[in-house]
Amino acid sequence: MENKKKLFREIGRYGAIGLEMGIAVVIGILVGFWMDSLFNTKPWLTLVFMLFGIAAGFKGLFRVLKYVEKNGLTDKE
Amino acid sequence: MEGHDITWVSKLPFNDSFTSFLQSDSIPSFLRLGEDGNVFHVYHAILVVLILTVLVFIGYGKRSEDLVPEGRISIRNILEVLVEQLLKLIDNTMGHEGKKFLPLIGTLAIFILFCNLLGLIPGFLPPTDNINTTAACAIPVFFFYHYIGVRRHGWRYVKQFIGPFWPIAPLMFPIEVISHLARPLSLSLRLFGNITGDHIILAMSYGFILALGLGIFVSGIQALVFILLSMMYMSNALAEEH
Repeated sequence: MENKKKLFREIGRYGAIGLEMGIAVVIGILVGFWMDSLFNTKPWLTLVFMLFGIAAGFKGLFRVLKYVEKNGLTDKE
Repeated sequence: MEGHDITWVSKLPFNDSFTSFLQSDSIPSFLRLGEDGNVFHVYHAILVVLILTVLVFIGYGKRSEDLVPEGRISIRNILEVLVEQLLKLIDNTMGHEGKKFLPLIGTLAIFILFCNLLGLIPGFLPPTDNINTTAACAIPVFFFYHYIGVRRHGWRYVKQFIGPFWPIAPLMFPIEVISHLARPLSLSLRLFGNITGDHIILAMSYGFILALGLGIFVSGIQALVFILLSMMYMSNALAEEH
């Protein structure tokens, strides 16, 4: 039972990365789109900020991996 | 969501006047309620708060200074087990310095759990199947972990945003800002999406005990995931500069 509880906890923690990566790209595109309409530079800022968004998604993944490296895959009880 | 206008809340005496007040011109346009909008989730959230308050008053009303727990299963014992488990979870995830964040994390956990569970009772909606409720839970977490980060590290907290060395700062800054903005959004969207889907499945298949079991499972897991991620963000903000 204790093991199962831990498993769900881990699934929750690492399953969260997927949504965060996707949303980072969406935020990047939206910010780029908004700035494009602000400065009249279609479509360049959208592309640039989409790349920023993708990088931000991987940054989030990287951060979780760092957390895993520090604390181990499962928490110490 | 057609089924949403037949719950008991639409029969509340003040519902009509309150809804039309929120739709009127006296509310600034960006806060105004839409033409066919409703605020049922607000009533339900208030109901959850009232339920929790009553539970605490029943449990702790009379003999709050007793140290020895009662010998039978009482509301007080259940509440104490819940808080104890939360403390254990916080201790495992954030270490010993996490204990002082129990007020925020515990409030979020219990509020979200009860909000999710309210949706399993026929005739009630889970307040968390509205994005406004979940965003209201996620945005304080966002500001709070930045606040504790700044309080711990001072101006060096900003260093996290500009990367390891100065020349690439213009590149790193938008990346960091976007990855931080993705956090409250993903927190609120995950809870909102899961509970909405769960509520729809439950509404479609009422009478199946399986769907009810699934609902309880999802409610618990989503409350757990929400506080786990909040704790992870907080301990990341508190962590030393890498």
